[in-house]
Amino acid sequence: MSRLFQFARQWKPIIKEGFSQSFLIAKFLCLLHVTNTHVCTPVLVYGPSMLPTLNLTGDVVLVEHLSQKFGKVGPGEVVVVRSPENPRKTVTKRIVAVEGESVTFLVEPALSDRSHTVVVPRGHVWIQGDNIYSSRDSRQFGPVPYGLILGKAFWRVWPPDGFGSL
Amino acid sequence: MGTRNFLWNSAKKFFTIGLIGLTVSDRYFSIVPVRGYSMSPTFNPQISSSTGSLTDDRVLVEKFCLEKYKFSCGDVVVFCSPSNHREMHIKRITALPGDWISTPHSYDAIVVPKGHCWVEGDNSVFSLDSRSFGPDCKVQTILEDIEDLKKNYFESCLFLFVPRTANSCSHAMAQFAVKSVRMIEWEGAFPFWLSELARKDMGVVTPFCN
Repeated sequence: MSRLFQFARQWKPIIKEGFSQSFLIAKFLCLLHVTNTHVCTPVLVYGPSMLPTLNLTGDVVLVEHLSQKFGKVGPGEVVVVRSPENPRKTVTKRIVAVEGESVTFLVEPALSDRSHTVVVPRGHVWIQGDNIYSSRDSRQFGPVPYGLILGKAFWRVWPPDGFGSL
Repeated sequence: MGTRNFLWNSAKKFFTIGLIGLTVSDRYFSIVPVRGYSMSPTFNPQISSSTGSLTDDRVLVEKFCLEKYKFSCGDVVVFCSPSNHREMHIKRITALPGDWISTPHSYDAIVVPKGHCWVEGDNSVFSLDSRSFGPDCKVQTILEDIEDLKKNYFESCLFLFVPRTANSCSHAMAQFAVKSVRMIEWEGAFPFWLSELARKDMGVVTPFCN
């Protein structure tokens, strides 16, 4: 019994130190999570749908979440949106119209000149890629609820020669 | 000097607690109060006379499912309303992507598209859900407008139920009709109990037309 107490007394300061370091690491991870989810986060975007604004092979952009939370994301801004067809994917497009506005778009620009006009319903936005010939966006899956917008892309970080605001 | 130190330490403690609380509530669990009766009797089974929030049911919501986004039919979920991203709703999933459902306003059947699900409240009378976003939901629109008016335009608003005291005659006749099994014809005169009720409804003492 006394051997056990001796053992505990020896290891107590080390265990205490271990706990306080883990708590520090836990606090740091919480700060990282809150910053990434609610303030600003870097995102890798790739694909041809936003040429020439964003590259085909991949750009790292900074996405800020505060504008979306205050409802200040508007037309003309590049946004990262949770895909309405697959909630585990995110897509990056530009907002063309917000609720109440009417949008006229080319249904199949590579094949015909046919255009279609739609009024964006309440609480939704219309998103389109800058490269309309190779983009899967609101023209295929319809207007997207505002709540699916994850954030606004405002600054490109990589590649270095593209460093600057979008 | 001592108080400044104390204030700084308290601020640091609050900040840490806030960070940890926000992380846990985003990633693991959170507690959410349920307003309204669209999920009666699962949540808020009794209609309470007080409109305070103390009588609301509170539920524990887990966020582990958001990793894989794999839900099953019958799960009760909390989500942002598609027509107003600031409102949160709680409903039950009744159809998953690829399932067929019959729309309540027409004879068509539609298939739930990829990445979407169909939600319905347990209490179908009081529920604004996937069926309400159909073409002919006038009652739901009126209810929505009343809620909007009450919240945004009036300082205080009281809703009262006034019974149809002058209509006990129709009520009795409807009850009678529900219970009868064969066709009934009254020629020349109504039954005595019906004319008595009609007289009471009208509040007159002179003979009612028989």
